[in-house]
Amino acid sequence: MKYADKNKQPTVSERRGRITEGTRRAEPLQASEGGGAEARAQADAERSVIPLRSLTGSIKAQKLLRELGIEARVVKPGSAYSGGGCGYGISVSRHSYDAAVKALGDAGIAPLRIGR
Amino acid sequence: MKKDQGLIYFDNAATSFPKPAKVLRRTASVLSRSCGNPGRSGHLLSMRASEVVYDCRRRLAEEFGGELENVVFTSSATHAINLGIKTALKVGDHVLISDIEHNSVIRPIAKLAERGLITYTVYPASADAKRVISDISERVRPNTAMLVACHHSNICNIVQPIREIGGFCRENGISFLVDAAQSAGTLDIDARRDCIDILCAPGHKGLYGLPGSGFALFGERYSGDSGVLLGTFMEGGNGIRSREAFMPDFLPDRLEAGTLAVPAIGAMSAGLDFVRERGKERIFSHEKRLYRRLARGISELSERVTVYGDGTEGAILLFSVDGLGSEEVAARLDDLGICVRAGLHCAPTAHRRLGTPEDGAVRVSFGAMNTDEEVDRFTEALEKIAFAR
Repeated sequence: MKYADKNKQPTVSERRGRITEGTRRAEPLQASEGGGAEARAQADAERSVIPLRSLTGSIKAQKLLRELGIEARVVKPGSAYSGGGCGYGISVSRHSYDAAVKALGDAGIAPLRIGR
Repeated sequence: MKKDQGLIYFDNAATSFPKPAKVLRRTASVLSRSCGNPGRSGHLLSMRASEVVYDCRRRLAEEFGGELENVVFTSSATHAINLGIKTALKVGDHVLISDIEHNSVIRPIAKLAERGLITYTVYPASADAKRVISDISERVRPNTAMLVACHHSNICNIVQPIREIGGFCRENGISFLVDAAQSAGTLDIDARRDCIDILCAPGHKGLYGLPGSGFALFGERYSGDSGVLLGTFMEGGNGIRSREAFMPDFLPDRLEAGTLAVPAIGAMSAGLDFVRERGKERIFSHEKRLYRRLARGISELSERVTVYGDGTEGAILLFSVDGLGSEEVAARLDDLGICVRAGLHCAPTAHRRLGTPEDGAVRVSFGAMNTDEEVDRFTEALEKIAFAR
């Protein structure tokens, strides 16, 4: 066991050059599926996070995207995404990222950050 | 939920009872399946709770004409009113309030005035739009920043014409706060159409939810990035931007600190469903019919009973019995299994206006679950009390 300090080692995600913390949470109303860490890491690698400024906005975005046929999940992506600390966003598959960002922009929902 | 055998509950203006079965089922369901802390975590129960909260925001926004992000959950209408008043007003502002306001308005306004932060003027409430606009116009000052109007009195059936008052406020750049404690769930309210900037309501009265619930719906004036930035009312954690020492600058997060009452919020959704299914107009018509029945019964009963108000039909009937204090009458009714509220009902200026006795009066307030038979039993009970000397 290690105690955390400010000189902590980079996380697996950071080593991968991509922050995926929290994206593992699946559909909110369903229990998460099994599959182990490897499968989960693989699934995470296929997804991108769009950070939004609030949980309310994230759920709204999720519903909007789903109505448009874009699969999306609400996630808690970690402070690296939200800037000021804790926050929420949505996770979409990498191939639908651009379409999702555009759809959200069209609906007046501005991501906190754009770019995978 | 079934009432106690034979119990008559005529105190729906305090809180509605019994609650619809779907409200009880929903409360139990949220407590057993979805009672994580919304907006704190990403795990299953937290996200379920977040869905419960979001769903209620959406329903309230649809029902009352606003944006779901502008629905701020509170513990009561009083909480919502305090929140609206204290976050929207600035030092030096002047406020107009009506003479039928509840202490949920009078007290926060009086406190701010006592501290020298604001000034305020009282205008006479009226259901007559022309008259009330004229009375308001006479009292507007250059620094009038807000008008607070009780939509439906909590002791009589005065309904202020909020659409017309809202239009006047919008034309004159005055923020319009509506206390819908007695009207949400029975009267038609559309914050956009009625130019309401802050709509405050409880979840546990006409929306048939649980005590400890309420909301404030903010209008365009305070929303979006171009809206007026509200102050904060209570600071604390809400799971957003935790590194920052200050509350977020957007709704609803700016005004929601601390854990939300998720079961009560879920219950409010179910209560709103109940109201929609039964129909606001139908519920109000039912209450007016009960009022007519009771008023007729009392009028035939005795000259010892005085009914207050102008005879407008509605959910509330206020009366006193000659020679008996209001609390005494309420206690005797309670002995007969009838629940009513006596006293000043936290509305001292409204009582003054109606000319009730020093210790107030007895209020009968109907709800969707009351029946003709209960009204008839009440009339018989009141007769016994009025003549038992």
